[in-house]
Amino acid sequence: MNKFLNELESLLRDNDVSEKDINEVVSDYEEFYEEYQSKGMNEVEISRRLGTPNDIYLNVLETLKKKEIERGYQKKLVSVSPFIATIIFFVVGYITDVWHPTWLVFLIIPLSGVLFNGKSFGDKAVAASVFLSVGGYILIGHYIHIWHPTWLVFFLIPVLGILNGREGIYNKLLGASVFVSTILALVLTHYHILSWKFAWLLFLTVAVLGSLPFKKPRDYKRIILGISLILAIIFYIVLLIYNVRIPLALLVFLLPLVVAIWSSHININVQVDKRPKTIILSIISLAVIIGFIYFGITFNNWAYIWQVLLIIPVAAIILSVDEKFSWTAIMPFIAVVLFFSLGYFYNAWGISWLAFLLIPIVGVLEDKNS
Amino acid sequence: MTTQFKKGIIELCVLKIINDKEMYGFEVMETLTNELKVNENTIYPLLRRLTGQGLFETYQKETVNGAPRKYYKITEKGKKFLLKNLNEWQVFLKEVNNVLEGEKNYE
Repeated sequence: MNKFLNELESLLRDNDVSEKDINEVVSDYEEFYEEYQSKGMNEVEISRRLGTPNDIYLNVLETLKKKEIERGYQKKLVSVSPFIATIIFFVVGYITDVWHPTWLVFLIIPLSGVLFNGKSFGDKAVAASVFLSVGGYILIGHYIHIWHPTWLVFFLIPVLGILNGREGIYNKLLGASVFVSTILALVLTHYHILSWKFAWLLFLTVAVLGSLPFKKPRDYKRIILGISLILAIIFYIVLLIYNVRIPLALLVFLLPLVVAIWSSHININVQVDKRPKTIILSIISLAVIIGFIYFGITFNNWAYIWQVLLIIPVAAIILSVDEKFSWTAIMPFIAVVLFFSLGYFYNAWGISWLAFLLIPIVGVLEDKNS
Repeated sequence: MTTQFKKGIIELCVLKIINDKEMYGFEVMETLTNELKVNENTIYPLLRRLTGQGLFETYQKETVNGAPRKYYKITEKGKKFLLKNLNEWQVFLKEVNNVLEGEKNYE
């Protein structure tokens, strides 16, 4: 399916259109698209003729069935999830006296919300990754005491977010490679599989992918740049194996640098989202990760400091809201911090779970329809 | 001419051409845009609405080179609807012509 049809499908999905109508409309427009294509029209001309996906949606809106009815039972399940979580928490808590991390069952509440109300599989996976990361991190940290590098599980959130975006596969790959290479570098060095003098090369994955001529197959300058970069990496590895000192071995990277200047690719042309919100979020994310590593090492307390990472999804939610700010959206995170802090400092796991009741309370108070 | 009025007339035209010949969506678009000054993106919503109202039914037909096409066929209900509206339209047109071409003095 092409970009136009993908956008149309996403738009219909985002607007809760029933699966049957989505398939029907997309298939009909696919037919129109192919007919125009067979008449030699290009993508721009076809889009102009058929209208934007949003125009199409508005034009066919009165003929579309929404998913509301299909979701009746799902809404009920979300509504009863707080009671189910509470029952499980008390039963397991009293029987085993393990209040922490049994409290994680309260993540069922927001998790069921996102799984049953998410608009697409991708949206559900991104939203669920927040809670699954928290759960996974705490369980592994608590039982196996590997807080570092388990914290890297939080990178699942931006990686899924990027993969679920509407960018092309090339940009998705490029975006995800930043996090994947960071995870690989940190894990491999932590377990002494690779030393940093080699592991940092993983960060160059982004540059290598950026120099691949996916978009313009005949961009020979870009191909030469990519080859020079790969050659430099190979030479660097070979030199280190032959015990050449690192500063000297690094000189091989002058080759791609010179090629980049020659080919006017000195700034590798990665498509960066330059909207102020994205820049602010990137700065916050970077600051949070640096802060997390710094305070984690300084206080040697990964068990509590991990919560600072929750600032990233909270900031993403706040910045993504165009209209009115919603406390309900960030309440799960506030509840987690309150619950964990009370439990951690005062060992009050038995009552600190009450913090999770703030989620439905705030939801009801903010809901205009209630 | 108001959009609503134009919409009604185009609806009648779509019913008429599919009554005359079963067509696939793109063919309807082409036929109409060749005859009338009409935006292509208004035809499909119309086809969907009329199908939803039971005035058309659809079926798939294989093509020689490409994917199967979705054909529109007028139903009995659609034929009755068309006939009724065509008569109304003819009467209306006659009345309008009488007014516009007549030489009555309305003062």
